[in-house]
Amino acid sequence: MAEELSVDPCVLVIFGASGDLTGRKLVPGIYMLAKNRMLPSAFSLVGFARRPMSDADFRAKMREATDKFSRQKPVDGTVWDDLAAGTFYVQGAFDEAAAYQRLREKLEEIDRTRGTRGGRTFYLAVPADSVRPIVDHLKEAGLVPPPTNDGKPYARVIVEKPFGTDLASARELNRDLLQKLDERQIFRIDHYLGKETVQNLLVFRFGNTIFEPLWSRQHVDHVQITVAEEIGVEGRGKFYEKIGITRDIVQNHALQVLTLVAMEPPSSWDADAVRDEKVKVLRTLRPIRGREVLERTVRGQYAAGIVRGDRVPGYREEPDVAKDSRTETYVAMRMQLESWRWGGVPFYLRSGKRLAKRLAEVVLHFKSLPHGLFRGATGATDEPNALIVRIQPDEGISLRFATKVPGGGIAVRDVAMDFRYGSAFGSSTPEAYERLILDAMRGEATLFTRADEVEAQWGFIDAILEGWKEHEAPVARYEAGSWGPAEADRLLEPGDTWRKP
Amino acid sequence: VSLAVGPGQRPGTGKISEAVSRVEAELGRLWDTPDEATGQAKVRASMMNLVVVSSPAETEALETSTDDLTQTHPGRVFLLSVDGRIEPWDLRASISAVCRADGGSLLCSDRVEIAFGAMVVARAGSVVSALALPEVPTIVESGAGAPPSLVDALAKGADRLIVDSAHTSWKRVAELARATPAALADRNFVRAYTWRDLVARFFDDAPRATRAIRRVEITRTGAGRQEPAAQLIGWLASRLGWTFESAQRARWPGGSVELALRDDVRTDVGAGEVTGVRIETELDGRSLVATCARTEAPRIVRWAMEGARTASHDYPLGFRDETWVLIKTIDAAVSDRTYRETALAAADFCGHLGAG
Repeated sequence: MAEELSVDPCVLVIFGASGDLTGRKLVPGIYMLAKNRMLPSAFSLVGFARRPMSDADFRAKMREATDKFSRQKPVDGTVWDDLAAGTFYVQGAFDEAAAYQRLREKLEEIDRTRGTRGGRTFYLAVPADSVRPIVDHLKEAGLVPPPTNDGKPYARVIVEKPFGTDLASARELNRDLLQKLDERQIFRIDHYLGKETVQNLLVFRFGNTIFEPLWSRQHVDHVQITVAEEIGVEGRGKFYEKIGITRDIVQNHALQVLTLVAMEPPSSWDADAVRDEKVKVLRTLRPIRGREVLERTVRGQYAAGIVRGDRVPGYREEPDVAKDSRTETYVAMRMQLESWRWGGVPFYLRSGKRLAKRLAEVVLHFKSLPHGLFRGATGATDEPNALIVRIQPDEGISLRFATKVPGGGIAVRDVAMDFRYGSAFGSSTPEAYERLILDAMRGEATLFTRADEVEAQWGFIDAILEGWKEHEAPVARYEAGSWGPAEADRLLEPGDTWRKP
Repeated sequence: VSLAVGPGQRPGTGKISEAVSRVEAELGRLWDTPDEATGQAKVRASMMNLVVVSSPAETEALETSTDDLTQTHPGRVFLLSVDGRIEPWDLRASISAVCRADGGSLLCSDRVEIAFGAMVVARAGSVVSALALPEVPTIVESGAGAPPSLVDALAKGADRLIVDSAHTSWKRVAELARATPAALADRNFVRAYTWRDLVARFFDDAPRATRAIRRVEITRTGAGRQEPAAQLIGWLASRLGWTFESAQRARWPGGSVELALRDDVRTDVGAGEVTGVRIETELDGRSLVATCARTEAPRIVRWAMEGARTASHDYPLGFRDETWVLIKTIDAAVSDRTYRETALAAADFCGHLGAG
């Protein structure tokens, strides 16, 4: 867990090097790692993509992207020059065997010239259907040998989501990958797990003594998890029609957050100890099957509205979206965890596009007062306490409680005790990708998703998707810029309301 | 920081969301940058978002009054207007911060001023929602000269809506009351507290006299922008269960009440102010006349009962500046329900009166 864990010499190979993710997140992240001296001295970066490009072209393109997207500007020329000197490009199609030979030759040359000693991390920033052919070719080219007992040299593969499109395809993909690779070599990335606040959930819960005793059905009335986006489908209508928000966000990010909120304390900060506990949470999730989807879930689609001051079209008016589309851009559900700790506590989860704010948060609403001593006092409520974990933006934690308003009489007002990452640690918090790339190069898998975890996530989601299909669940409409359809209110227990943060 | 953003063809740069992002970025920078003079980091204290809608002419005065307010009620202040001088598809925004030293820290609040072009008013709610601080209530005030369309655009997202019935018609207040579930408060209801208090005192030890009220007469100076008696009559009606048959008569299940408005020509009281209330009723079969009226000293009210009870006292109306009035309007949630019912009754009364 220590930040000072060293990284063995290695080459990071990015498949999909001409893609958006590489320019926006990966290379700026690698630059920050270089700037903060987190990379090994023997390090090299290789881009692999179909587009013909020279090493110099690739370096120039990546410099441009880093200038634009780096979280610290301006880019330090000396740091960049050092990084660029070890940056190369290999042109090839993902299904072209000869390209992998060229890649192998390039990597061996880099080992000789830059001392990277055979360490390899392959980052597959590619569409889901390209993952298998790439891994097959890497295997055939001898680039991903099985791990040795001393772990050196190593070859690891980072796989981007979506990891399958349902349980069957996820199982098939796991099976295929595990025929070529060892589970220890596979790093299924969910960038939410690289966010400081998400990791801090565990430190907050298990690194303090005062919160964990409150963290159960004894004190918590209900939990709300929100993952909201302001953006629409951003020209990806064709892709989104096939996916929908449940597959895009809930199956991975939202369920990951849920597991961290609900898990039992692991025995250690060991990758498998943590992931074992997360998988247990997913197994305690009561499935939502058949007609139950009509009572415990609501799916919706945005209509035209105003977001951040701009008029935006409805989902069905977006390019490449069917006029009668039933793909959901919003989903809300009431979940139950069948466990000693959480039995009877509703977990409300919602996620949507074109909502009022870009926001991800977890809120624990505590039980109402057993006796209303101040009932009737101005501003007094029966449920004054809530713990708000803001994952993005403005990362931090707030504890809401009631206080007396200064002055005569008893008037009560809710106030929040607030911790903000930005205020406490400045604006130097690493981006999720920086942390995750570094962890993968170190072989630290705690923040990556294990095969059984992915399958458990899909197991839960599949039942809902099938239920919707089987029972023709209605698709509620909501105005873009709102907090979702009114129909979602019926999921709530009497007295509960959706937050409007 | 000034931003000018149009629909694409304007000298600005395009979409409103880009302006919102630039304001967000500037606010972020403002908080990240230590104070120039002292090098101290700024500490944000926030208990609310206060959104004040007014005419552009009021903005300067509002800067001062909201700065005063944030000394005791820190938060993010939005000063919003519709400005006919700018292009209809544009909006202009500027931000600033007000800081004060407090126990070794520099405690600051920020202020965002936005002028909307006429064609982008409907988007104001979305703009404010994107820029508002989380976890604190959003209080929207409809200030002097506030364009109704701008207030309407914001009312939906408000936790508390403040009006001033001294310059807003009761019809409009009732419209807002019906359109939003947000708590509704009124500066003029706060200003008129002493009048209600004094009237209520007539019945403190004789509550049954409220059921025998025959006549209510209110005197007020003329030339006010709204009917000054409407608030008191609406309040009485809401508390005593009256409905209006006409502007001259209210009815309740046990009988009816004559209502009378009289002009007062005195010049030492401002226009559109109540100068006296006279209530005729009965207590145990005997007549009781209760009056409270300004004396020769316009800020002193003589409170008197004659008939079944006899008493007389002088009370100062007192003076409260508008910052105090606003603070009470924000804080005094205890009277929210009473006010909402008062507003609806006052609007009904004004409907019969033929006033707005």
